Amino acid sequence: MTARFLITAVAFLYAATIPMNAHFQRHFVSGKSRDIVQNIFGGLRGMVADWSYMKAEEYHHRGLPFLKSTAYHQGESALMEESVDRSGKSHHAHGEEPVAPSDFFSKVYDAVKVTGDSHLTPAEEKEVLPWFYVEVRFNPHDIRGYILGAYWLKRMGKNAESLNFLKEGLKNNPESAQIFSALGDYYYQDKDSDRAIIYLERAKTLWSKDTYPNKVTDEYMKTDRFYAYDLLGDLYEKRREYRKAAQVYGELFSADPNRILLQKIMRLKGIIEGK
Amino acid sequence: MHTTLILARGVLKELIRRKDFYLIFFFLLVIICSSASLSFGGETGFQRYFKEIGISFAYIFSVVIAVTFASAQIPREIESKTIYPILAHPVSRGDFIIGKFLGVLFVAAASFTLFYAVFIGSLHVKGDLSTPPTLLMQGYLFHICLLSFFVALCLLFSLFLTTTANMGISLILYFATDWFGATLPNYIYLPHPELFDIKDKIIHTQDIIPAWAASFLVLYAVIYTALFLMLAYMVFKKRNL
Repeated sequence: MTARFLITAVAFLYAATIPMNAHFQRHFVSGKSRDIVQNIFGGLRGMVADWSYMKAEEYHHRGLPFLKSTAYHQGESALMEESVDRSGKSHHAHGEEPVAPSDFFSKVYDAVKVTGDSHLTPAEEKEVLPWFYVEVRFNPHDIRGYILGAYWLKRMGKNAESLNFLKEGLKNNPESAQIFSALGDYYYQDKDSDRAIIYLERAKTLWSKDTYPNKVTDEYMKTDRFYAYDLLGDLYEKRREYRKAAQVYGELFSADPNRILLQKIMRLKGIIEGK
Repeated sequence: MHTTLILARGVLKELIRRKDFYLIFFFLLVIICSSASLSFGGETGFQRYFKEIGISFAYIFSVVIAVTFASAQIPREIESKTIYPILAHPVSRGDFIIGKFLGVLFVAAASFTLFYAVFIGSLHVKGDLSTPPTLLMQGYLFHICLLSFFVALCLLFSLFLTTTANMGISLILYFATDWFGATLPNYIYLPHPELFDIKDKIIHTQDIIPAWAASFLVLYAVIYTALFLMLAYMVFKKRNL
């Protein structure tokens, strides 16, 4: 074989691969500005835990990759959305589904990869559970793993297992306002108001410090904080401890002002003042 | 052709002699058994998790075998000077490259076949027959394509890199493209080996891959393999031995 023939053959083969790749590019989504270097050097355990969380999200979407599934939900996690929703039903908002191009290369990509967004049926939902287990085994300080794992256990009617998982989380993260809030919520739903108040009061104290790991950095934490204060206020109201309830709502209002809270505060003031 | 097959058979004998294959196989059995027994929140029998662990490790371990074998072939022959009597026989440098490629590919494919058989066998033992057999066969075929791709790439790299560096870089390439391939910035001038990975389809029991798409992927693998082997031959031909 002459050198010219070889060079021509190599150039031809290489050139043949370019059009094969050209149209795949539209399927590659650039990830959120996640620092991979920080992930790698921040500890392999943390990385595996994060990966497990992404796996749970992927399983929830029947194999649709994490970044693709969050793209369907305006950059949000469906697992997190459902857990803060607390209704126990799968009805989080779907964004407009991206229109799939219909050219040959897109069809190849669609054929070999999972690209459609669908969710596990209730009977299949237990399939997400192992990933929360793996997540917290690799990183026992991964509060999100405990919160989501407990939520999904409860959603499947495994209340005792959910409580145990949260207690395990509390043992590993004794300063987590989110876990205290989740435990308070558990006892609130269980109509054990004495215990619920103990956990929610502790959660309130931790939230008010606004320091790691309880610094409110995203909407999910904000919702958790709101929910904890709201439950606590509601419990005090039920006990006719209106001053305490108004104080709880007032504290929340100063951190997260909104109209509903203001209405509650005004209503309680009216009751306290005997109007 | 005869000399090429003799070279390939030599690589296969190496697999039987070396202990690491048996160790990897033992690890796979342990991993599959432990994932089958996972229990959380009083729940057991997680089908998708079990499939994920079984097929992922069958894939990863066969790539590790392919990369470790392919990286060492040519440098070891040169280091131990056994390449001289081989090339002194009527064996062309092209035959040498092809022989090594076929040998390593056969070793990797044989290991993968065993690992995959264990995975499918364990699914049957668990009574999980949810995945269509055609999809399982396609998973097998595409992974052989991936092995062919990496064996050829490693043989090419082995002409420039030390064995250890070659293994490291090749494995990083495998994991990087498999895990982050879909998140890397748009690129068309480099290959996409992650396309050969259809384990998500298998795990989540999705539709089988249509024949035309499967044919395209096989062609994709053949072109890249031929490209890498051709480049390896060009470099090896110029090498002053």
